[in-house]
Amino acid sequence: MNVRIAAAAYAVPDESESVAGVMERESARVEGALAPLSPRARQKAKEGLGLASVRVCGAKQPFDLVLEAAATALREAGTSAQEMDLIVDYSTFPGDDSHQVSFAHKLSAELGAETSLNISFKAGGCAGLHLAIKTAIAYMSTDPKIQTALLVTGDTPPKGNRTLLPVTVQGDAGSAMVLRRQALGPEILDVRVLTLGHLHDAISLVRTNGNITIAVDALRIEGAVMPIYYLNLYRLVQEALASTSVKLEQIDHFIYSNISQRDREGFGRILGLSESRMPLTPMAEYGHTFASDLIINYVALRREGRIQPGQFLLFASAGIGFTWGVTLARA
Amino acid sequence: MTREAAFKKVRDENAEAIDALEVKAPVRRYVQENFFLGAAPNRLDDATPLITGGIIDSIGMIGLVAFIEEQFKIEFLPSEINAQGLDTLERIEVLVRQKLESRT
Repeated sequence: MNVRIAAAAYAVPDESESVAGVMERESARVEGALAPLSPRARQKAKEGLGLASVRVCGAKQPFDLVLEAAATALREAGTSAQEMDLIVDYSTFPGDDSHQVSFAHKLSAELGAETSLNISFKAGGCAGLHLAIKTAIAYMSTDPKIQTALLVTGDTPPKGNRTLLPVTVQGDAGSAMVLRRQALGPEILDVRVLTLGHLHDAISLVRTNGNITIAVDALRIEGAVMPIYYLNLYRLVQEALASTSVKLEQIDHFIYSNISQRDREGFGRILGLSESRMPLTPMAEYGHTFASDLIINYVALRREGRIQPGQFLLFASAGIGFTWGVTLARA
Repeated sequence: MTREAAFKKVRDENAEAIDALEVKAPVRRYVQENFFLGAAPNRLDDATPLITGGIIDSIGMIGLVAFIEEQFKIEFLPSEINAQGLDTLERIEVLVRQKLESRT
């Protein structure tokens, strides 16, 4: 179908907070979440995160970050908002003070993309990008008038909910990707997504004393999600490779999320990646930013000039839902 | 022989073959060879918790599932793979037999 990644960009808040500071401030939440685990598992949960600090929304809120990232991506794609046929908002945590129906509709108005088709869904967490790409390709493949799609996410957790142990600590970011037919940029070859609904409550939103909080069920994470976490990622990678007749050895760049250092090492182990082939990441600077991780890491590769024409890129991540996703592209 | 009778004969033969199939022994050997790393193999009885007991971690699951699928020529759906169903040799046997029987 020849849909390509015409551009991608991200925006982060100026303010930051150390992960140690977040853990200290949310110590009661951390201890509560980890309480059901064994002492060894509790200790392990706090180790190997590899996250020094996270950016936190202050003056700029997630929508401001999305708007900034979208404007940058459109500029880099050499296109204008008027040419946007589809806007997909896949923000999981758009912020406590986001009152609009969806970022997609507001973005359409703010950018001046008056005729774009705007949709919004909250699903997938860190794997949301794959869902968004798959959704956009589905629209593009069934409607020849949809030539250009803008995919955006902007996320910040509810106040006091940055720690998602035993998984990660959450930072804030907004990001945008422009998909276009017949454009320059990596061609999307395959997108694989898997959702297992029975794990929807491993990480969920609950209302406590009138406030929305992110509830992390540590026992479900350790006992139900983790045993199949890498297995499902591995199987999706294999499916994507098989469907495109690409071999793992041919992949030039692995673009993986920044959930934690230990998670990234796990990803490297399942694919047998040597140290030199491990995915590049500026995670020490930005921390984990939900689905924006993949955009941040992709942009980092591009900025360093590492992506050459003809190279294969494999995006992979897993997140809330529970959802696993893999996208294969060729530059 | 009627068509129904022929089908029944094939089904019965398949059922007998599944009953006779040894499931736990090859899985036990695989686990002992790949996860025990020199530890006493007699630790592994039919009810030993492989996953919840920490013998097989989330990365080891990839090899275990691939071995079972290859050994018994079955293919699990993602929804069929979970820590409970694969936690002991006993449960693995139940799961494998269910998969094989669902094909007959």
